[in-house]
Amino acid sequence: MSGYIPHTDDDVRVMLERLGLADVADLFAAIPSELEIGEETLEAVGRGSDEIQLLKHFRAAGARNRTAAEAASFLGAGCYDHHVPAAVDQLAGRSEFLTSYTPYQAEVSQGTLQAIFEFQSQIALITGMEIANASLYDGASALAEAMLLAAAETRRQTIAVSDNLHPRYRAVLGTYARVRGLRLCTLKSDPATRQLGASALTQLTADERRDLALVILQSPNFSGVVENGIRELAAACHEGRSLLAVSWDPVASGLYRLPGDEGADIVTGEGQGIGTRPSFGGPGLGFMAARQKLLRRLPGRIVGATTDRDGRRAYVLTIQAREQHIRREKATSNICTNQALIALRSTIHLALLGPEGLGEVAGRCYHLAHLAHERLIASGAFTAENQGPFFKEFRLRAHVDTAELNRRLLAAGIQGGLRLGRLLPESPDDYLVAVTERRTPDEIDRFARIAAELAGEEGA
Amino acid sequence: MGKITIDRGLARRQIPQLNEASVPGRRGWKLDGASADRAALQNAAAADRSLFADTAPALPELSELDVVRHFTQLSGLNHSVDNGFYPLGSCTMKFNPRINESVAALDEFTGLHPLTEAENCQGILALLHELEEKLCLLLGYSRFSLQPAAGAQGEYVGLIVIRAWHEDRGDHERREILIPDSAHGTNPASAAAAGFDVVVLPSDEDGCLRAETVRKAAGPRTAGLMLTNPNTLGLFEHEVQEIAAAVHEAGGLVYYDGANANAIIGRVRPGDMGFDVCHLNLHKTFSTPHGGGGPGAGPVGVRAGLEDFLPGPFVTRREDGSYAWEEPAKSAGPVHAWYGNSLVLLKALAYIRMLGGAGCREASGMAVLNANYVAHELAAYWQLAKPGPVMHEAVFSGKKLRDRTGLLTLDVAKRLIDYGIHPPTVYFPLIVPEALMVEPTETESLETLDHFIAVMRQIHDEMEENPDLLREAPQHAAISRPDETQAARRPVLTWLQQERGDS
Repeated sequence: MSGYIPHTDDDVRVMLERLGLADVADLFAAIPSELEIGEETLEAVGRGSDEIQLLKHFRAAGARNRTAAEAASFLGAGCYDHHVPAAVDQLAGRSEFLTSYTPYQAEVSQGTLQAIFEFQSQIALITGMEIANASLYDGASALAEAMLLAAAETRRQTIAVSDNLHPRYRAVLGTYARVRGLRLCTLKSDPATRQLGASALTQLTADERRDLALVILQSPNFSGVVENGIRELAAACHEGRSLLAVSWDPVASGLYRLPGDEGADIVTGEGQGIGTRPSFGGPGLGFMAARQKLLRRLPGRIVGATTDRDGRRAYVLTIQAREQHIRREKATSNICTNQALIALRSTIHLALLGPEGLGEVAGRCYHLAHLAHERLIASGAFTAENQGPFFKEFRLRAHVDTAELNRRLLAAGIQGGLRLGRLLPESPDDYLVAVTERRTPDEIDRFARIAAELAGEEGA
Repeated sequence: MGKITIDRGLARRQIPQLNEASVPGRRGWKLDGASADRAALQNAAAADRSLFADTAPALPELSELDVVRHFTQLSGLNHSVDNGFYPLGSCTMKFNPRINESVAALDEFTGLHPLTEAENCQGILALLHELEEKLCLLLGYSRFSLQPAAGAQGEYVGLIVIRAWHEDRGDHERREILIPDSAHGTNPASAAAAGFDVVVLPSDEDGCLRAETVRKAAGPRTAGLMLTNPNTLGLFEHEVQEIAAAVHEAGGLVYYDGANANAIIGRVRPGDMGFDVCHLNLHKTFSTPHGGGGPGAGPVGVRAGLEDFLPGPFVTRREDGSYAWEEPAKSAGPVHAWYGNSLVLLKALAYIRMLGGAGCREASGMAVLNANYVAHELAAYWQLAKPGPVMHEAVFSGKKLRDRTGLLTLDVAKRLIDYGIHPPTVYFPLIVPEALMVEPTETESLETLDHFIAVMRQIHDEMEENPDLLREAPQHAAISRPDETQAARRPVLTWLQQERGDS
């Protein structure tokens, strides 16, 4: 037998004898013979491999990627090159976490259940919210779930979205909104600061405001700018019985006031930056925190603390009356498998960093990003695209050919910023630069020097 | 045979929470040279400073050893495939080969940013394309979208593809999805999430769906039918071709829920059975680890003519052999910020490459042999939900035993824990009273199956001789049975709520 099958020929013979069968094929008698798969198809799938060949194949493919492992990365846009402490990989790689299922049987799943309870607690703390769920797929679908939650809670159909929301998130919202017949409308930010501001709702018509279920903003937003006026915006939403959702970068919690403390009703986000490498975009981690009053509308798994028969503390999956395996078509969401192991990574990550470590990471990002901003503008290759306050990422207007710039940077071991035209065709000259705590002043200087050289050649 | 003693693997044990172990001022991970950062913060512009918080969030303060010990101890409270038999029906808890973990953990993949220019990530694009090709071959489809992050998201995508296809044809009246009563709960939940009305179809006496039932229910409002094959009773839907034809005649599409695909891989292809759209759970059939509830992956395959409606982007192979991203023309829209759970996809590819086509066929053969062996050896003790051979899982009913002894399937499940075996899926499918659903998978040996069978028979004896052993089970786990009612009535979901005494 090939693969991972333990059966010897003798085992198979003994088992078939017990069953009174002659051949394994007899077990598949229910399948109409004309449907049986052809040998040539199986051959086309491949003939099997061993570990040595497999490693070679994947290593050869890996060698054709240029990555943050080898290049100093200034690429962000929702996926960041933050450091992951060594203990995260080693602990999350433990068999007992890796090879267990969703913790339906609480008595043999207390490890996963307690870890999720701690995850929910940490997410509530770093968003300033009351409750959190056990995770969702990614930052984009978490925001879509927030939209569906708000529409159900308010029984309204209009969703107002900041124009500085990540364009891929906006596209995912579009998918879910179309299916549900929800109306998405756009709130424009101040072009000078790229902030939405406290009075954004005045952009809506009276009709839109009457039907407004949710306002969605991202902070720091897609231009890297930290939103202000959230408190006033939340108050304006609540006055009209609408909700406010913020898509939040959890690393910003080490430095900035928390969206929950500012009055948001739902905080979602991408948790990749706290404990997981970029991983070509996945697996990442969607999280969702909310006000207590929204508990019974939350999507996905939720863990609660209770007691066992002996009165000892125990953790269980709870409020399951929301979920698909109980409620079927009346469930709040169809989600079941989520991103538990990635949530565990974030739990370990935040436990290691603590408040001081998270503050240090945020402080370093802020410091280096502002240094990079200054140097890149001084290079002559860029001007500032906006004057808004930014955290670890900023948007520039390029005066050089950024495709050529990124090629030169890569040759020098630097992965340049994002040429925004790739995601925002209307902004072909804009350039988004992310700077994490893994970067150094030296790398920033090299980046700026290469930009300056190009600017000199192009006469920018 | 000698009596089997209980397993003391998971003894009663409590581990303090992180917040309880916290000591103010204790540090774990540190960043060198933070003083320059502080200076930068102090010199920040007023617009920045007005946004700063006075203090960082009150996370627990721990040393690295505290954290390592905490999570190592927590891991000891879990049952997992790696430390014991895990015959959880419908979940395919097969062995997760470690080579898959090794290749997916290469820096060249974990360090790769999703917006890396295509010319700089040809390696991973080639692998993703290769996975798609192999899935198309094994399942009988024209294209797969690898984007859905789990089975339920795959179902959602498959359904919005069906919806978009009808709408593209100007057919806006198809609001209904037909679903048999044996279906997984995700099917109706996904159909509702995708904006459809759910029409439940009864299974027949033999546990299968009749084409006649479908013919009567299908009509101009039918968008499609969702079917799992083999179904949740572990039975092959033998009228599948007529069922598909009936849906097609009514103008609908047929959807394959791939949750049970481990029974048929390398034997029969849903594409050939008449299914237009299919999703797979790579974390079931293709051996990627479940991780305590994800990350999984739920790719969606479609037959020719439906490709344009899938979420984008796809990886396409150009004539010069290079790979590029391509957006489908009439996409129902993306559901993920990037391309799905890429590293999980790599693990599944590693698995398929290791097995090859013939190995996949052997795997389903042994999965079905194992399930039939368990069904055969336990049938005299627990009533099979439906008599006769099964596919990859055996569903028993504990109803007669309950009526005789007063003991529930739940009690049996909890007693298995005392023997170091993870309980099978219980109380599902809903159409089987006191259901007990056993899926051994192909990676379990005859010795493991024989041990399980012996334990089950011993529990059967205990039901008569010492029922309290079941009622009080588990005695040898980290906790005894938890109070789930209290958890739901007075939810305590965070440290803060716990400290405030919300419990």
